Amino acid sequence: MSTQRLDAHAAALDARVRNAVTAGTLATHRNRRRIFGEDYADSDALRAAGAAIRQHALDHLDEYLPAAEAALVARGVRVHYARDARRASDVVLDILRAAGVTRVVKAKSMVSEEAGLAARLAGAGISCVESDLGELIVQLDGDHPSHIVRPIIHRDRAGIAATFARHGLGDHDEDPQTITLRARRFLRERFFSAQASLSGANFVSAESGRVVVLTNEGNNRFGAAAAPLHVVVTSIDKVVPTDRDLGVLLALLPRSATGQRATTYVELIGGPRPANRPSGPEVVQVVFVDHFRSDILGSEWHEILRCIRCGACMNACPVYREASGHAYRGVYPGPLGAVVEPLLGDAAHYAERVDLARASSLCGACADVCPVQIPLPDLLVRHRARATRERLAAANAATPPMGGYAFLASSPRLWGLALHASRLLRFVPLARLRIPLLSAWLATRTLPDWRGGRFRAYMRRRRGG
Amino acid sequence: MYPQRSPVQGRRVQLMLTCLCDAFYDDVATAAVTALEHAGCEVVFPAAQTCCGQPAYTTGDWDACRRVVQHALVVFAEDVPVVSPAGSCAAAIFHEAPIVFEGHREAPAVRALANRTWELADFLVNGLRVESWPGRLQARIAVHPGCHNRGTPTVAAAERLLGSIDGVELVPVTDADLCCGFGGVFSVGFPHISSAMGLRKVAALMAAAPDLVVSPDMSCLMHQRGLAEHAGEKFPARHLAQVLRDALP
Amino acid sequence: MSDDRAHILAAVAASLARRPTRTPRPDYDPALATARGRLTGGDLLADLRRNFEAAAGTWLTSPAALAGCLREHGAHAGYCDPALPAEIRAALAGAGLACAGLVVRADIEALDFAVTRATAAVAETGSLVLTDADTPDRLTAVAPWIHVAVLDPATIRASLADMLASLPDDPNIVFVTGPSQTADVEGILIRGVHGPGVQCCLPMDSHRSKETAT
Repeated sequence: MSTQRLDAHAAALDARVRNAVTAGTLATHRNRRRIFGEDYADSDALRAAGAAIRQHALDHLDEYLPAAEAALVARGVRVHYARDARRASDVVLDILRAAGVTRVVKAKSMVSEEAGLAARLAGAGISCVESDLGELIVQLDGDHPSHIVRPIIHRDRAGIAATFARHGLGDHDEDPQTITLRARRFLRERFFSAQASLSGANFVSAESGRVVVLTNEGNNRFGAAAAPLHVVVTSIDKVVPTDRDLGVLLALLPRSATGQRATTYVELIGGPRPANRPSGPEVVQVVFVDHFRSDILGSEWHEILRCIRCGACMNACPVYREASGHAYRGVYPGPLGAVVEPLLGDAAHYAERVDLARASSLCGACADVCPVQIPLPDLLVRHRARATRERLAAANAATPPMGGYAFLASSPRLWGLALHASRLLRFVPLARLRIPLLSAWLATRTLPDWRGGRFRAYMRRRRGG
Repeated sequence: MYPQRSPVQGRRVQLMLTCLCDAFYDDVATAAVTALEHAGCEVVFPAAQTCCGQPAYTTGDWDACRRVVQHALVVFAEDVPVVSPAGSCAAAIFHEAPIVFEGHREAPAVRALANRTWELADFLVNGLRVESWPGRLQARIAVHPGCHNRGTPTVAAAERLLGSIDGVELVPVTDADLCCGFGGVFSVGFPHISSAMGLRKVAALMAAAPDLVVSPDMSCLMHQRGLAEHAGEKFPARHLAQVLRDALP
Repeated sequence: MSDDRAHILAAVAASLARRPTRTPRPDYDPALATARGRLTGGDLLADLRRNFEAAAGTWLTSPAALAGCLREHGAHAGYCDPALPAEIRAALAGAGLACAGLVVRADIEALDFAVTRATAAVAETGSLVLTDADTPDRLTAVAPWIHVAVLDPATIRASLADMLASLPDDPNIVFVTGPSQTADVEGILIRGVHGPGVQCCLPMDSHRSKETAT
């Protein structure tokens, strides 16, 4: 029987990558647990509040999105909408061209990765440098991030040093301090010469119109201070009802993402700089991108939109750890990716990507750590149900059919017969039988002795029958 | 979702055998009966039972799942608790079945069955209010919680019962709640990852050289022991019910 | 663009119309998010200091201590907001540190330090709060290796919830918790990335911090 693509990727994975991913995720997973235990007697109550805030925001997005827009406009921010990823890149390009921009520095924005924005800008002759260290290294290598918070979790210092040396940032030096200082110097030049800075948004307050950006490096703080134009590219599901609600989310996000109480910088962007200040954007623009969010909102997977992009689920996931982020083939890896990636496209995309939803033992470690209590395992199984109904061959590869089983299990007499008949298997070399389930088992495991019907006989004897 | 439980009235219970015990682990089922009877229960075994439908749920064949659960509705129709020596099967009824029956005519009946379906340790401690287990067993025990028991009182109940047995020492396990990679059909489509996860789990459980590895779920132990023995290693697996029965004077 | 706006809002409304129930506005106590054990219920300044230092912040107790700290870090020249007390500039000068009251963009990279006013602080998290209103130049504050925030203790809020309930109307509110850092290289924590590598706090009471130069 064939096996699934993600399993093949895991089987072929370089041991160094697996070790790096394992070390990185386990450490953060443990830190997360420790900090929640220290800081909250009942962290589930905090997560429940986070879940309610996010779900309420989504369930009233028809009010909160226009409210966010109005609040932003009242702060002197220009607001744009883009129905999909392609339009998002179009809008950003229009903004940049209108301002005569050819040099951009960019802080993290997941939705801009969905849009392939960097490639669009490059194609238009606009240079766009990633300012987050991990994203910069990914950019220099033409690689893809393998984790939404720790983009180079799969890399080690030797590889990073080689990258820097290859790109003229100094001779080969693996010391993390040196690597970081080189990145600081390299980006400085870019920050000072950039004509625009780009970022995503962790949250947008519908009440005050403040755009919230969390970083540890200070890359967005610097970028937005140095450039005359700042463009925020974010998805419509980032809207949060009130500033007060930010308190709960700002408590949950850093702890869930990195085991920190707070990231070094939390910026509340509230409009362009005052006229009497020399640094900061004269113009701030926000692009709200839909790109399938409104579809997901009306679907049986709508809870996934609560996601605050903390990465805790992938840090907890033993499958992610064995396979690494690139095995998920898209922008979002891990449990988050397994649920959302199939939904970020049309039906053909769904069929191509929904195998990811089978790459799970449904252990529930992800649901346990999700700060907004997304029922991830349930959402994965919903994908499996849809893939089954739609008979999606690739997605259903190596999935045993259940018709025969259901037939047997609905008929006690047949079930009993099968139990008895299977006793004969003791005399059969099982490994020779071409029964996929059996072969799969026996390839790496011994099978216990068959005892079919014994308990039933015992209970009959007790009844005196 | 773990159900809202009503207080358990009376002592009559129906045993949900589970297909694994039906096929391989009759001793686990007889041990479960012994434990329940020791706690004062009258244990009924509806012989027409077959399976909980979980394999069909997890593969996504929800039509097949519904057929199997509809049969279970008939089999366990008597309004008394249904007790299973497997957290995964109990969860199949109280968490998964309500999902596949959303919007279906039988949804209320499924919900009613869900509310009175229990895993064994949870039932003993939280249903019958058993506070400690009598008898004696000299053993260092590593507990494997089993992933279907996340978010339920089962693991705490199991550890409470085991820890209360005179002579039992529970040994700590690093990253104790890490999945062993069985996941039923998962191990078929993802054999490499399933085995890799399982071997890590076996190593973690055996690291403190326990006398017994005990779980409320035989399915996980079957996978772990299968991997260990295939690799030529011993793996002292024992189901929770067997330990409870063995400890009894 | 307005096409996209109408399209998106219509799609959102259509999706929500299919939802049988909508989650109501949750009723929760914001104090739920306040970390336990971070506030002793006593002196907010002491709580702030403890939590600030736990986040690798450098706490200074006087202008003289500031000057000493800067010297220790090998600083030579920097910026100090002219609106801050003369005492500070005097201490810096006394320690042989060159101090400008105005820096043009081209000269920012030559700065070893910048001393500016914090608008507020949050004791629970050990954070300083900076704003455009109280920071003459964002770039001068973020670029040098060392940043010193002069803080009036009367502006300290106990919790993040308290701070969020009393945000000033400013286009650039930044919560600063320690020096800039990254763990992108093998999870190893390195301080000093794009923002300062040393983040200091110098508390000075309001009647002193509002002094003008003499």
